[in-house]
Amino acid sequence: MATSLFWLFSALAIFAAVMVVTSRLAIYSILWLVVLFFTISGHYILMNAQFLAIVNIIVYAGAIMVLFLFVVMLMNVNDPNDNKKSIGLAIFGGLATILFLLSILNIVFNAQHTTKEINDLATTSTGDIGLVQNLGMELFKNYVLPFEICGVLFLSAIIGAVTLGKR
Amino acid sequence: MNAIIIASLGAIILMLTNLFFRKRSKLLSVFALLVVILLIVFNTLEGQGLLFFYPASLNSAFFQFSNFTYLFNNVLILTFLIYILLNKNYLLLINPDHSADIYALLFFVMTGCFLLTSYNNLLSLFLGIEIMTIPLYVLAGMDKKNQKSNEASLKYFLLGAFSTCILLMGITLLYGATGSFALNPFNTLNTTKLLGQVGMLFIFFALLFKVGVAPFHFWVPDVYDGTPNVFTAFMATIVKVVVIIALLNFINALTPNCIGKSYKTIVLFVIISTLAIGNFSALSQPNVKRMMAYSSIAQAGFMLLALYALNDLATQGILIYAIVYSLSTLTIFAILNKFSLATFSDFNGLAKSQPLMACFLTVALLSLTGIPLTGGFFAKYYMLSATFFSGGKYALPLVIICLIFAGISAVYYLKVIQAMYFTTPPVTSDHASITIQPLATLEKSILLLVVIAILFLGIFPSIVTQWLYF
Repeated sequence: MATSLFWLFSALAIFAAVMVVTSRLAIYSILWLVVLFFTISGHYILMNAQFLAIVNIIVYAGAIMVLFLFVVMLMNVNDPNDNKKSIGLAIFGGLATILFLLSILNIVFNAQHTTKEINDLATTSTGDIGLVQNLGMELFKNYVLPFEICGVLFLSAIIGAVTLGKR
Repeated sequence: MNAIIIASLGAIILMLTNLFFRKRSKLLSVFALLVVILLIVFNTLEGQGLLFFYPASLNSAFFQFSNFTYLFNNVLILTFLIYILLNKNYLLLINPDHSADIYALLFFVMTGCFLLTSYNNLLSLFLGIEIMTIPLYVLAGMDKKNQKSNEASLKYFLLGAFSTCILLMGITLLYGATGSFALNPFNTLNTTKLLGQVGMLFIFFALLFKVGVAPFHFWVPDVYDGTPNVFTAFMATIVKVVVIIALLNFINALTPNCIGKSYKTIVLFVIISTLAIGNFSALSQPNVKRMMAYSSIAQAGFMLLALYALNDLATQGILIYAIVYSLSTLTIFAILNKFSLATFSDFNGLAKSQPLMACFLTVALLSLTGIPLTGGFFAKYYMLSATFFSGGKYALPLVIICLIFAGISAVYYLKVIQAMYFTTPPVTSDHASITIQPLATLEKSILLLVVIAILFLGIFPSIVTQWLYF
């Protein structure tokens, strides 16, 4: 069951990702991106990381994508003729992408062949580090220093956003 | 640890000063200078073993402080002090409503810098890079009415976000190979797997992207050109140097054989292409600010020699190079602040109208070229001899190539000096006097000290390097 769900989510994720890139209208791209986030949340749930799954949906699909939609609607970038790319760019971009994909695939398959514990690379429905309780303990015990530093990071981002946003 | 905490607290307090200080209040820069002095005191005290903030036992998992870290932090803080002293009037002018925010963002960048000099964990590396760059995106676009500043900010943000993606991907792959974020040799020694190697390469390239060296340099000229002068000075000195130190930490922690035999070849390629592109492009630039952008690419190429050599001499060399390069570049930018456009012809006859300014500029430019008796000579000397003694069959050819490019760099640096001393000012001399403002007294005295420091380092470089061993 879990394995078939894993493959289902994976196939859906790849399909959605391809659709994000190939859609002509920006709105469709964004909606496909939402689908992508949901499939990734599905993966998180399979890995027993419910908290991460929920946060992923709330933050990415909820907040950020709504922001994207608003920006696209306000800026009115709906004309499909706007995003015509030059052929040279398409060729070199495609070449670079294919090379990158091949090298990444090579890495992944190599990793599978060299390690015996292949099952450890993609375990489903085991492990409990992703549960809220354990995540909290980990975050406030072992990772409390980076956690606090994250606060500084967000504060600087907020100050930056306010500074740029204010007239 | 003290420096990290004081810098972030200072940023938060400076942010709140908007409530109390009037607009363009001089008190703001006084307050910022106070925080900087506190930083120096606390960082030095921590170097002597006096910690004020000690997150019990968590320290070593994420940060590692060595003698070099404290010394380099002090160098950064002193550079920052000089930066504020030279630019404080311009920092208040650039966006009067937000001068307190500007100072807060600058201190946040410093926090990120301190994280990057001491990180021992990929998590802290990522946080350091982010804390350092996110305020910079904002600072680049601070001159909101200027189209070029907006463009620079957006470009910097998009490319910075892209390189952060690569960094994250690298960290993920490395985590997949080792199962840990820790960056110690025990953890990474057995990373001969392809997964880990590619992860390391991704992190390496992402950091090179942040430095802005050759195959990843395309954003540098536009961003440096569009950003307001004061922030270009900051980006080209402190930030650039810190990322190189972060790279050095990363490679040192890994014991370079982990990346594989190709490591030295990659660094060799990066250094030579950086020197070639930086120097040849700088030759044909219309204005001095853009020339400085390309020259900073070329200088970064010299600093990367430390990544090739990876020995004690290189550690001393990068320290001296960082100091001398930062001081010279800050001097040049402090003088560029006085120009409205700074094309080469604006410098015509500067030696007659502003002799002191021309003198300071000459010393700084000669130091960047690497003429003996200036600090730049010993900076280049240390880097090249470190490369030479690192051995390997490519060491000698690399040194020779670097020397050739150092010679080429003299052409565009001396072009400015030639314009200042050997060209008569344009016939409409009142035009020149309008666009060039004179130096203020404080700036004069600070620049005098900086120039003396550059010359002093050109005679006694050991005054700095000896601190590494005490």
